[in-house]
Amino acid sequence: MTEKQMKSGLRSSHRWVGALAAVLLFLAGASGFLLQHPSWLGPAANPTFAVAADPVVPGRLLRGTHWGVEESTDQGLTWREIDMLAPPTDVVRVIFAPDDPRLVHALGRDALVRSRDGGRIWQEVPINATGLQPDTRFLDLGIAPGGVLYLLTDDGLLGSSDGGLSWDRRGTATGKASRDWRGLIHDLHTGHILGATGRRIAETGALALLFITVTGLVLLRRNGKVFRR
Amino acid sequence: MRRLELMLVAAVLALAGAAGPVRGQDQLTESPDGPEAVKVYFTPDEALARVFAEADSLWSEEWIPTPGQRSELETRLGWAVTGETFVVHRGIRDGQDQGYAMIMEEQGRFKPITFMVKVKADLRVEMVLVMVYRESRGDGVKRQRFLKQFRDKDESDHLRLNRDIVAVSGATMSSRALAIGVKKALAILTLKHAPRKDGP
Repeated sequence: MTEKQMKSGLRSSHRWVGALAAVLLFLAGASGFLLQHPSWLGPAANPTFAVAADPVVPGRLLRGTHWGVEESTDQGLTWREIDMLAPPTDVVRVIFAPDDPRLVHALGRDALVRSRDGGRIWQEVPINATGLQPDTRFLDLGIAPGGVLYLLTDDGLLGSSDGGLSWDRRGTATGKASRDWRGLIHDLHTGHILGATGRRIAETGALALLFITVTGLVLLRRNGKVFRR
Repeated sequence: MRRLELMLVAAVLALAGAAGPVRGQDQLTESPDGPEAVKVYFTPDEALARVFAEADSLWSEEWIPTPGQRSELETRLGWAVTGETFVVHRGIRDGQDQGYAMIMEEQGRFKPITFMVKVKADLRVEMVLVMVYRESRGDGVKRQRFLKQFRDKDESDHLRLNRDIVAVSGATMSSRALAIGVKKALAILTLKHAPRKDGP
């Protein structure tokens, strides 16, 4: 390969890489802008995962959705979101206690909440079993007569005989189902994997990429002589 | 060509400096997520001086809600409220109300986040300041780019994460903690200071 061909190849590569980087930067900017204005994207999707019938009030239902808990008082024809300060997300189970129909639990993937008045005032139930990792996902909840709670997680089964004040493992821990790849990728992307220094490196790299892209485009537009002396 | 290379190197070095740590006192401690830096961005006095910059006098009041007020507060929030008392700060200038402020502490992913919520006299949020951040990651919530989303919100706003307030990427729990604290402060201050609808 002659020197002329090599320079031509490099010049061509620079243009294509620069154009690709510009497209990526545009997409990142546009998506970031849309994230700042979520209402432009229309109503957010809100799938339903669970439903429970009030054992006391005929026609009243509670359902668990992506955004929290919703209530219907007309047998499910219309629904309204129950306002709560810190709603759990992805509510996979809503249960009225068999011994106390005013006691209702709602289990999200990362939080358990309960109400003692049928769903008006809620509070979080801390899950404080020994050795439980903070990123443990909650999968299902059962309530036995007598109020014993059973909580299935992706790290095994937990039980509480005192209404959720304390939790203990039932059986052996199963171990996490899979590595938190999302967290790992996020840490790599942001530089967090190397701590504060890594974050600074990642930020510097991103800014340098932006600078190189802009200057490359300027040079390209000016004379197309990026690699010529 | 050499000139361009030098320009690039200089720019990268300058940008590296610009992307350096923000103002704060770092203290190394241990936490479930590993070593971390407790960052104190504002002491209570500094935060009050910042949010009431134009006030000529500051008042602090300890408010103990009656059982009826507590019940009303819980109904408004849909949430059980802990804590017996709430401290409300108030700024006054030439006899005119400059608004109210509360120091809130809400649980992040591992550790609590301390922040100040300042509302105007019309009980709309004017400013939110992160005072102390204790975790190793997620401190993007201290940036005004995130915090300014709370401006002009009042008690009627839901402040639901990723619907009304866009969370900081990679700091969802911290964003949630801020949204919860602002909502709680708005409910408390509105209950305490708004004229009652059924009043005379």
